[in-house]
Amino acid sequence: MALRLARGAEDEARELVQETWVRAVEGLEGFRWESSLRTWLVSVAMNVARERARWAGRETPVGDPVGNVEMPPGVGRSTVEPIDLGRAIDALPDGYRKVLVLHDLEGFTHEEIGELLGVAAGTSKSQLHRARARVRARLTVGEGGAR
Amino acid sequence: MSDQTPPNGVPRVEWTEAERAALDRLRAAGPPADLEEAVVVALAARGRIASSGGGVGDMRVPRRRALGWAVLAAAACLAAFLAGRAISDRGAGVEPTVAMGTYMILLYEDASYRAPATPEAHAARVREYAAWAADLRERGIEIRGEELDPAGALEGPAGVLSGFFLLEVPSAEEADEIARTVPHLRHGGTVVVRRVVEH
Repeated sequence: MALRLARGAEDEARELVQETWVRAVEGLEGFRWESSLRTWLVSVAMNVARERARWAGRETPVGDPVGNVEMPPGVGRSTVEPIDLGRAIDALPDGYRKVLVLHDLEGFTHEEIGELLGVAAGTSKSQLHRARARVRARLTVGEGGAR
Repeated sequence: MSDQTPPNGVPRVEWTEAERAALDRLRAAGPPADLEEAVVVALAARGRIASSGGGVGDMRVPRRRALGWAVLAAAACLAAFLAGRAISDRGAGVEPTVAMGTYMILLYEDASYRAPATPEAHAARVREYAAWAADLRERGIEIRGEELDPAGALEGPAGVLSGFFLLEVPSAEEADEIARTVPHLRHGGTVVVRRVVEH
């Protein structure tokens, strides 16, 4: 998950994991089992990732026009290389990427994702499908050699 | 965009078999072998691993304890992770299409608005608003905003329209909730939320 949060940058992912562990150890006394330990740890990781992105001046570009996602058909490549899929996920805007990673890679429910990201579960659902559409679009472009 | 796409709906997109197989392989890829060691070093460097005598910083003595804790936590995470996968797999294919609405948050300035006094202060305020929007985007909400050219602005009941944010959320309630956090309000401005009609 850290690797995907860091857009595939291994060094950044390593720093993210280390800082998450430090924060988790520091904050463990404050953990009250109001959520699962896993959800709590992921929330720590998400906060660390957000802070590191801010310090580094990385932000999602403004002006993602509403409703511009192309919807490629659900058929296409007979095989998909994990490295291509990973790159397509890494190229997603922050919001899409986090929802897709949390749901499709980490198995969180939309309700849990809503709590983690501070959004409604419905937003998580819609973002997931937009994210999948973007990933597929990128994979399709990649197949044509235009990536 | 497909003609079947509802104007306010997000089409459901399910993974193909090939995409799902690639996801499974991505999921199965574990962290690098030396990452655990690096984490322990980081914890020791911050003095977060207590020695047996209650002190900090001795890597050789506390490391086994830290690793023991790490293994326990990792096991808990793994169990939860596997449970999560089961939920995810079971849920695949039944995600409902979610109706989304486009809303506009209009920013007005009247006599109570505390306008920035200098170009630098103005730039700082623009950055403040942009950071607020960026934070929402990080949380998965599509939002963009613009400042309007004051030239030709007409004064309405709520003052002069000076900017807007356009966002996409599932409900008017969520749009209102977000509107209440616009930094414009902290500076004495007024915000109005309107739903955009989709044709």
